[in-house]
Amino acid sequence: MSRSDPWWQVLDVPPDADKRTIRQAYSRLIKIHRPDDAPDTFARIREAYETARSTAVHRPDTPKTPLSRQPAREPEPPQTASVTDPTPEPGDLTDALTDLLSLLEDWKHSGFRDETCLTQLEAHPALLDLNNIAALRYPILSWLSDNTLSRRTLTGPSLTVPSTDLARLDRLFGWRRLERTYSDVPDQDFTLVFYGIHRGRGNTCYQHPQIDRMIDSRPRIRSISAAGVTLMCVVTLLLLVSLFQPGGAIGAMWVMLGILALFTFGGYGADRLRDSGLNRHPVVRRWVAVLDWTYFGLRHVLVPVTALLIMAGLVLAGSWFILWSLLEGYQTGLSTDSILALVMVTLAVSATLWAGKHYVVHELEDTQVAWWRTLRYNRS
Amino acid sequence: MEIGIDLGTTHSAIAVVRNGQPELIPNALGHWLTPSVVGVDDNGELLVGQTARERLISHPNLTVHAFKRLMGSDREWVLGAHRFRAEELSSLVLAALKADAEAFLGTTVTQAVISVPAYFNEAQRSATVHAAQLAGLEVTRLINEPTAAALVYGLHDRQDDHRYLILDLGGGTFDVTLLEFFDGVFEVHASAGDNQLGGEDFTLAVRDWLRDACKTKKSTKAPTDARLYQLAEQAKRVLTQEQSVRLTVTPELTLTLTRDDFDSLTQPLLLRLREPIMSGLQDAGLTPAAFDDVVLVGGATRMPAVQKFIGRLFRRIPRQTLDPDTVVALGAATQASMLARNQALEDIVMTDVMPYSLGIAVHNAHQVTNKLFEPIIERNQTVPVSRVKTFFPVHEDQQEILVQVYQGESRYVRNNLFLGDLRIPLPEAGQQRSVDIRFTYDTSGLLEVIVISGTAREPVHSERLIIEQHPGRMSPGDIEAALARLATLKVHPRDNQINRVLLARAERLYEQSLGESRAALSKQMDHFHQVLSSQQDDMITQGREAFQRWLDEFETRRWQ
Repeated sequence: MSRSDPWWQVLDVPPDADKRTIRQAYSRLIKIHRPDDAPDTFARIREAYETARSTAVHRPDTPKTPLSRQPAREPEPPQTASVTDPTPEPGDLTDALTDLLSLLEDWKHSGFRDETCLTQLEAHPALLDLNNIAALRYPILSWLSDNTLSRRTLTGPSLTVPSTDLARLDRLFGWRRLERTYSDVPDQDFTLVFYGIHRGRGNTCYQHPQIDRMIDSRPRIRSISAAGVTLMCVVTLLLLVSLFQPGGAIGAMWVMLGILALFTFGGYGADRLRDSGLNRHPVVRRWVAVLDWTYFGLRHVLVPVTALLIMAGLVLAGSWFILWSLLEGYQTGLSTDSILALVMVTLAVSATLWAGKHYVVHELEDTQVAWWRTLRYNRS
Repeated sequence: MEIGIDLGTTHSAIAVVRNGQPELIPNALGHWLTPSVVGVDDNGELLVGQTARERLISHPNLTVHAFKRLMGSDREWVLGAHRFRAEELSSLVLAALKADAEAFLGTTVTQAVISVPAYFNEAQRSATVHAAQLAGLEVTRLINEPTAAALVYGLHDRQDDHRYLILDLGGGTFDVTLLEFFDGVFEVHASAGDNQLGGEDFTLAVRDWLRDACKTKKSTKAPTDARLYQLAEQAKRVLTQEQSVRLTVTPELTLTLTRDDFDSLTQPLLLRLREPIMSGLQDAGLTPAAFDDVVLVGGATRMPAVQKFIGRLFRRIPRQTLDPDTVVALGAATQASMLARNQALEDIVMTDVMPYSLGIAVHNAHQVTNKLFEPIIERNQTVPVSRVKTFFPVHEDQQEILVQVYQGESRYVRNNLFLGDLRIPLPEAGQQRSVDIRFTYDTSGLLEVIVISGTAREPVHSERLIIEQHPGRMSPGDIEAALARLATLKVHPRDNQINRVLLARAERLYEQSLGESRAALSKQMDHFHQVLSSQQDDMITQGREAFQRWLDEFETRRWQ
């Protein structure tokens, strides 16, 4: 018996043996090679037995054809959970599911903050039965998946459903162990929910190519771009102010820098607070909400509006400047002043366009701004 | 001698196999169960078992219990002039059990199979082995508690193709084990558990309720925690039989706890039972309907609330035909007998699983200091097991590879248990720069790590690391020191234990009562002391019987 022998030789059975024969061979062999006395031989027999068993699973007990070349373990069909788990009283379960979903809806209305909903859900009579848990596993997961959106904040994603609560529910339903099965379900993407579950269990650096693309790389680009946009606004505003009112430039600079700092660190702090256990405290929660709103306002109102105003102002001022210098230049030739003005206007316009593009691509894409979603997803 | 010991959180038991049948060994008081409680008396002498348990209320500072929950940790308890680790306290209990067995069998006992919760990790397991060493016992095998119970049930039924789901809710731990008996083979499919959930938590829940009740009632003076704990324990026991219990917390305050109240108090704990069960079922790939028997083991499963909850969970009445308190000790003795190749058990083989994953630390490109865990042996594999994986260096000019071995389920090694490490040089550039790491874990809990750099056919370097029962936190030197220290301690002789228990019990009752009862008690105690000092055996026996009768009567009167 060497390590490379196929399992039927190790177990001394025909390759097309059924489960019963395999098991008998196994129990006969391990009584000779006991796990305590002959660990090496036992381990080999065990390995052969496991391979045999997983192969035999895919065959009926009395096979007509010899062993076909099948992979040792085929991926299970997507909805194994509901296929293999008996669902004896379907009527009963529909009621239970409605009940549970309404509890979840209540929870959602509280902004996923009311823990009593979860406690009630955990103690729900229908979930005191293991068969029911298995049967309700999938519908509950898909509800969560539909409602777990990532809120885009400056420095990172934040799920609408707190990840600690996702992990808590996972402990009851055990989705995590079926992650691979669920990832094969067509038309359903559970990546975000599983991301939350793993995060809630303390595995913050959970890696998944799709998630890396969706979440991990996004915040870095966005925080830089947002800071860049703000900085650009500051610089152009300063230029404008100093053009018309040299004394006000300093004050304007401080105001803009203050906004920039709030913008960059506020979001960061809010994310940190939200992910820490502190957010259960009402005061912290209110502070996070304030930061969130400031943040939302800055991102979706202040930045675009300032950008638009600046662009409009620049275009107006620039056109007037160019017109004037052209008229002047018609008489005296192009001056250095007018060339400078031309360059400045071109720069400002392209910067604002770049910022606007970034805003649209990175800020709007995954937010819940409805019109943008419809526009984008209808098109693609 | 084929001895099995169940070292429990609240109670321990010892059993022996004689004439092919496991039987329990009674302690000096004639009880099957010895409380896992250790204390010191006023003379600095150690008390173990029932005597110490009686003193839990009267001398809470000089008595410790439930130390099994902190096995494998660095926690120390101060008892009078001494400091003890959990291993040392456990060793005192083991020594008491050993003395009982020696008195019962008339021979010396040196070897034993000791049971541990299935979900104990390597540190906790090695702490148990150290405790046995300190008590002068050689551990021939650690057996998982639910597996031990399953052995007894399986051998009792002798039914082929029978699947058992064993739920072991002990004093401090909860274990789920799924196993199958076929053709004389016990095969454990999976084990899962919760190391911090047990009957003790139910008592604590009731104690907290009592404490809150005292606060709201603003009674004259709230009793001590130890007293409340004892009341809670009593309430829990009474409620397994009765529908409600009246508790005299203080002379002014009497509370009634019904079974429904108890159920709602402990519901959060009951709900926690679901998670390990679910996880075990998922690991084994089986549905609840696939089991022929759902077996309840462990004293805490006597609670009707637990039975009802499990019944509902599985839609069937769970089985508890054998005494849930002692079945594990019997199973451990059976295992000892199997290891000794007993004729009657020759056609039986048992295979168990390792409930934790074993693996190594690998590089984390995102956070260099926070290494990832790469399992080599996944959890719930049948032991002995041998698995190999190939790893590659992170950098091209890397000279050697550091292999750090961990046990656990977390994705990050920092949350897992460190077992040991070794370094291996890599082959020169140009050759195949990879290492094969083979993990071999055997039934005695020995993990062998073989690292081969180069290819398996042409190994360039190879290193071997044996992690034997995992060094844990006590080094051999520590064990020697502890042994020397324990040898100097005086343990009460076994002979007069009955008298001591009676006196300790009287003392507890004295503290709990007032006025006339106190006077009566002290009178009886004085009398018994006098009888003891007479040193005449027949008089002592007579006096003891009378004293015991009196105490029994006194106590029943009190609870009415």
